[in-house]
Amino acid sequence: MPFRLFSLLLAFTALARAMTVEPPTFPDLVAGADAVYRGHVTAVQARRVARPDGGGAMIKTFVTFAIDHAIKGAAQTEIVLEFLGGRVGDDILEVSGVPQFSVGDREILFVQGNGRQFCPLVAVMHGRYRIVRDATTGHDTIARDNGQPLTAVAEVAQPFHGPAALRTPANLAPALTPAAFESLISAEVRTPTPQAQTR
Amino acid sequence: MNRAALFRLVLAAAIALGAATGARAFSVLGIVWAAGEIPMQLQLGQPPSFLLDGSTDWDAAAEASLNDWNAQMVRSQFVAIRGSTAAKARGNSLNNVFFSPDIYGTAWGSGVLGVTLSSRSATTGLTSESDVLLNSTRTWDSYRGPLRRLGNSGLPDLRRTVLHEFGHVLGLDHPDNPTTGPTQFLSAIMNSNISDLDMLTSDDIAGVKSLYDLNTGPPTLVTQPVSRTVAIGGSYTFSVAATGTGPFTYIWSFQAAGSSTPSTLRLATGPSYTIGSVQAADAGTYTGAVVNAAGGFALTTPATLTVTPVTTSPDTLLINLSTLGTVGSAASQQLIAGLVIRGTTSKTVLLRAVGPALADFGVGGTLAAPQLTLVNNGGTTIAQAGAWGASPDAAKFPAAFTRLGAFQFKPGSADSALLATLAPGNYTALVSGMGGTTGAALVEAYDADPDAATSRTRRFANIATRGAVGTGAAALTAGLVVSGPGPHTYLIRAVGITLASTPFNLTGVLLDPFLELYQGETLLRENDDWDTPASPQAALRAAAIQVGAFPLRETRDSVLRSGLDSAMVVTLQPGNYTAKVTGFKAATGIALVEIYELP
Repeated sequence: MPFRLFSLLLAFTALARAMTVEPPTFPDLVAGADAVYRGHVTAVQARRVARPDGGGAMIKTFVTFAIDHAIKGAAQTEIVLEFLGGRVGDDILEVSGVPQFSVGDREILFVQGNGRQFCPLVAVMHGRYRIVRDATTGHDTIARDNGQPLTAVAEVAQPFHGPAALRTPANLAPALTPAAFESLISAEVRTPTPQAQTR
Repeated sequence: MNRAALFRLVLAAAIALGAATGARAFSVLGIVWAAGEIPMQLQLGQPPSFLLDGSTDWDAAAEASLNDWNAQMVRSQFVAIRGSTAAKARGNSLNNVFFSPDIYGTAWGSGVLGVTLSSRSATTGLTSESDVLLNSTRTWDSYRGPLRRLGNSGLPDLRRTVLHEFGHVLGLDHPDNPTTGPTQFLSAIMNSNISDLDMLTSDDIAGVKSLYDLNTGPPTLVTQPVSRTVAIGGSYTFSVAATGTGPFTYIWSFQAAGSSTPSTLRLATGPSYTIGSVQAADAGTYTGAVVNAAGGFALTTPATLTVTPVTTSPDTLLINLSTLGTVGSAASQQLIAGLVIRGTTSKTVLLRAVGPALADFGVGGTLAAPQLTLVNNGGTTIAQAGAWGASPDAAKFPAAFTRLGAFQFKPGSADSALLATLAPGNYTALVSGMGGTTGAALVEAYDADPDAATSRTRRFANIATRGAVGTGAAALTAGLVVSGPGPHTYLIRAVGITLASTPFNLTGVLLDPFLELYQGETLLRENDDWDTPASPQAALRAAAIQVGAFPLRETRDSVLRSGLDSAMVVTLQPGNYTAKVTGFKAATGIALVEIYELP
């Protein structure tokens, strides 16, 4: 029975999530991304930065992401993603819905508006896909931000509590592998698609 | 340990524990408002036209959502300040609720309708300011019922959006995508995506009641857990007593000696917990938290358990291994016992498949006619037995049973037995039912060498039994008899989900086994997931490698885990023990119980 509240809480990087968001379709997810990267997190650091509107300082968390493969967008070796919120000393700024990262996490990220948006991912948590390895089989699979396996790109548009979330261990369809997901993303990148509608 | 962190822990863990038992399923952030009023500066202005639900303005719609939450709270209440002209700013200790084209200078992301920004103190755990911002680049309305569309876009409903955001202001998290704790799928306004749901559900209400229903002070501790030094095999009880307004939830954490990472002791959920047989991995500090329903809590001082080693004896033997399980009609539902004999010369063993005789011990639904088949590592059947009286060795059995301490079979009973002399290697004893009969059966293996000195040169090293685990009394139970001059160390495992993986690929496995080790009626140790707490993981992996056991399935990821099999390394004094395998939360399926002798 999975249960790791203690260690997770004591890690104390956890920020509250509180947001109303509409999940994108897969074409919107791809089209809306400035870049799509596969890689891993190498550093997570929060600090106070000046607000863009000159209204004082706010806490931001900077996630350094080493890029193994640029599926869409400019090839580069690293990107530092800026998320509003975090903890500095005794002060915690919680910004709703922002995905949480830890060093070593492997991801496919749909990056949008880094440094400009409060969360530099398309549709916030819907722009983050985890790469999960089963240590027994050695196989990598794709999971959504809440840990649910992604078995088809159509599930991208479903809310986390939607039908796809109701799978049980007994009837689990195999999750997409990173290679399969990347292939589908690449195919979508090559498909002329109207720009994702700003909601 | 950081007190604020522990506060967050105990509050979230208390509620998550409730969820784990089915009492609650909501998720919380582990942080709350102090008792009293929570003023909300409603600054949403006038809509361009009438609102579909008849609200006179945006603030009226928002106030209705505040009132929905207020109806569920006792110790705190939202206070709506409609038409507020307060400055819209961060760090002003005001809770601003307003439309904005950006989030204090940073852009909205695609698909985002609203967001809550909350400032909390890590020291006190209390919220000091929460602003709710709504995306003014979208066209809004306020209505009830299913979500509507406006052209190619959705038409966001302000009422349900702020109802969700105000839940976050109060400290509720997304149950379908929580910051901590298990992901849950249920109907809730607090789910992460806007939907047709436009009102609080029972889950939302249970969540807010857990945080704000009562106005009580924190519990007062009367007694604290006590530090002790215990030798391996001894027992240790940590306990706390508290006064105040209950009911209380008890949460215990363990930080292994030399580790900087504490773990929740998920099985310790009461005011006291006893480790019946302390092992080296138990050394460390134990800290308790007593939490009341309003989130008030008190922490114990950490108690340190120092574990002193004992000298194990290489001359101590496993002389008897047995497993009680249920035999079904399908081949996969046979009771299967694997034996490993270590040494250089052959060993004499007595194998028994007990069915009818179990009735004399109060076991119901016994297997009427067991059939015992012994197979070698190459898959060849080397012996088979039905009713013991029909065996060529029938005349030898009564004396052998007496010498080895086995109970006698009644004359003419259908219980099975066979004596075999086996070369070192791996063997499998299969227990099935004659003619497809089914029921409870016991498979036993006895060291039948003439004396202990001989036994020590060719040892029972392992027994593993596969069988079906059902609910109630239908557990898989393995007995072991440790005999010799001193303690010895064993690896005991209950394997379920790993059997579903390569190379086993079994179906119908027990996904989440639960392992308990008893001596008589005394519970010595229990384990649900072998990788929890984390501190014994390395020792368990090393022990498996040492005895040649297959690795248990594990997934290391920040969210997904599958270390659901159970395992323990225990040093046991000579005596009789029972390892019982059940399904966690009444799970059922095929499981394997294994006992390995560590060199």
